[in-house]
Amino acid sequence: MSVVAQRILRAACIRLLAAAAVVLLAGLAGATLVRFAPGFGTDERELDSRLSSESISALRAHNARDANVLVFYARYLGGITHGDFGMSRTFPQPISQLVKERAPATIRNIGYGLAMAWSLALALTLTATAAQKPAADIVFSAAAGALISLPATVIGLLAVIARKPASFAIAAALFPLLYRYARNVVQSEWERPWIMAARARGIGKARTLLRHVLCASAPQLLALAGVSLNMAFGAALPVEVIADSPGIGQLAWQAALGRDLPLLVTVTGIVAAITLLGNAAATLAQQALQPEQA
Amino acid sequence: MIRAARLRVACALSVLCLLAPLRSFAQGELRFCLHADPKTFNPLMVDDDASEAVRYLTGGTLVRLNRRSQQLEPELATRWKTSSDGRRIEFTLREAVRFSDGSPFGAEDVAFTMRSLMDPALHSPLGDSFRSGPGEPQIEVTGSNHIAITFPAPVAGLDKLFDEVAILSAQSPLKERAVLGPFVLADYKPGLFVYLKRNPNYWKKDSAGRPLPYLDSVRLDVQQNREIELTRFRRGEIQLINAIDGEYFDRLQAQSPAEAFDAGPSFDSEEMWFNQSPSAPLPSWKLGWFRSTEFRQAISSAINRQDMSRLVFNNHASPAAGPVSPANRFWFNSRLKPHSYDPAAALRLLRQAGFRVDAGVLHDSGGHAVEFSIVTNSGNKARERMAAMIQQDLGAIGIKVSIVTLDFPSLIERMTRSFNYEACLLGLVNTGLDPNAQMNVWLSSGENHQWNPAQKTPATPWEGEIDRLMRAQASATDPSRRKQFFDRVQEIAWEQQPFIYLVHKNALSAVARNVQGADPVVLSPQTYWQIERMKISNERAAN
Repeated sequence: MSVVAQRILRAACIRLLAAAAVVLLAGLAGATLVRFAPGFGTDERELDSRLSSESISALRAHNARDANVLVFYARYLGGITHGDFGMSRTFPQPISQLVKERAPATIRNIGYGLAMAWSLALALTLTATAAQKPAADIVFSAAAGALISLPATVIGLLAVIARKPASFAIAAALFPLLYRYARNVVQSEWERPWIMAARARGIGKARTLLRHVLCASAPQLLALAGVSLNMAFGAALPVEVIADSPGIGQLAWQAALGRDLPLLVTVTGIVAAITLLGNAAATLAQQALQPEQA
Repeated sequence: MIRAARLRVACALSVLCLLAPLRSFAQGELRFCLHADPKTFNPLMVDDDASEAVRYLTGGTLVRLNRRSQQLEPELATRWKTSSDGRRIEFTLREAVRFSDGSPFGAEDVAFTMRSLMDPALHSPLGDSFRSGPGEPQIEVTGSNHIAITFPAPVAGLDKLFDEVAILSAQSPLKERAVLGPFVLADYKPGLFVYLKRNPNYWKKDSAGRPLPYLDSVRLDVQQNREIELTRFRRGEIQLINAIDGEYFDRLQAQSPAEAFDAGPSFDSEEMWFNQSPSAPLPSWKLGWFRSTEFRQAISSAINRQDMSRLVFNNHASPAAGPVSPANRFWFNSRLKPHSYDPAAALRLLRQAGFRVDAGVLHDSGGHAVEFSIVTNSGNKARERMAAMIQQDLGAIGIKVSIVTLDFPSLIERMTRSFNYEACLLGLVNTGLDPNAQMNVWLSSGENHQWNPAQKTPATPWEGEIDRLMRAQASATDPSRRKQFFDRVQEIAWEQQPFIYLVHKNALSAVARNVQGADPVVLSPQTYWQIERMKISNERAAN
């Protein structure tokens, strides 16, 4: 095994351990926040005038069983070791089943959203860089600026009105961020002396861009790719709620409204894990492409 | 050989031709929205609108309340008889009825259902409705199609309670998935839809002897956003909307008047109340205002209910006098009129109680400026606008009101645990016709006696009087006697204003033009209570 490969493997192991620790801490922090949120342990059914005092007391006792957050978290982690994430309070179903049923919608939304956003951002970046015309820059930047000023919820609502899927809204929310960053990275590479020298020697624009500028920008763009996964997940949460797309985002929203402790802790863990894995994958890819900087 | 084959083909074709007319009545798929996922498919544990919709569509009951006439009609029971003391009910059951999985229906199934329902560990709201006294009911199966149930104490409106009891199979391995209603649960994707298929063993037939229901299936899409629901209705993707918002209703009516239905005042009411709980962390002078009958009456008179109905609900609401809406024909007390808007009378009452207005600000006898906050649930536009109107109306008599909107769990915590609020604006959803469904609201010991819950002894003489009247109506069996008792409860509530009733919203709904057989009413389920006789025609629903 080469020195570089060993270094990457070591870095991967360290990151994996750190990620596990962060996910556990994020879960505990999430559980604590939910536990001390106003309205924890309440249930709309308490307002049902048909319920007897005994039934309301039983309902309250049942909902108060997770009042001690440390005991809850220890029990929750114990359950996880057996593959049991517990039962949701909002939906009377096992959490693992809920996540399994909802994950495909979110993966689809994020996958298509990322693909659309990256395709558009890269296409416009390359066009603007190749053109080197202020007009192109102004038009593309204005479009990105307009979209970046809109909250993801508004973009989601516009997508619903336009009968576009949730992935479209996620793409619209991501595109301006990706475009602005990618454009800066590619433009700065384009202005490097060795690129100018290559152009001076008569290498075509397209070849310079695709073979040299893009390759030189790859490490930073890969880092952006990792971050964009997190951004896409962040955008998916409100968009899925607005667009009524039955994914993890909608599940998280309903869990928050219902103060569903086990479900929220699980979703927090998933978000933390995805964030860390996205970042770790980007860093490792960067190290693989630029071993001398690692 | 060839002749035999031809004969078989001819026979098969003949059978198909004979079945074709019957089959042609099983028409299409009806679609409408649930606003949340059902919390349970166990019909005995239903406590939310979505689960209630599934229960109504799939559950078979012994009797059914006709939502138009508000009278009970026979279903799985052909006859029933309630004893004069209101403790015992006997049912004669329909014969040759089968559950959706083919298992036979009989008295043992009813006994099994009632035993499950009355299990104290179940804590079912429906079961609690039957629990009028300590002890368990005696269930006697006196024949394959005859059953008698004796309760330990009289249960007022006993027969009507069975409208909600969906009978479970005692034998079927499918448990609650074996049903006796017109549809059977075929698929459920959380967050997406509930899919119901026609029950092939449904017992009911139309007047021409054709099997019901006419529809092949019902798809209930889970859709929380009411705006999207309306958009989908306009596109023809769904055919019904229950309890549509007034603003959306007007938009729909402007575009397609034939599809918008206003059935008049619903059973639901919107009301506000002041926190009178001794556990409330409020200054003593504020508790003093809230406990003053004159103060509550003055607030009631200072609120313009007509304007509220007109401006907040676009005239799709009417001023409320009490807990019972005029839609509830039997229990409504027609002698009571809503408190009229009269700021001068309000000020007179306040002066009588020792308040005075200085420089446009109302002060109590101790010199404290009168100001309080109203909490309500966030996300309910109508309620937020109602609170704003109350703020404006009370400002005119020198009272400063601030509005606090909270999400529902936080609001429940304040109402039931910390009592950290001054006034609350909420709506009461009346699911049943009978006042017994409101026992926990009116009894001073009730957890839902919102202005001062779970009292050990009644805090005021009039609350003691309400306790007495509510118990008397619950134990009486003569409907007119019960009505007298409950009329008096309504009168005391009107005089004392523990709840300041504001409006009864109208029951607004939307039914697509291509739906036949719908007859929207005020009682839930407004639009599909005749689901088994509803059909979808080929006419395009979308505008």
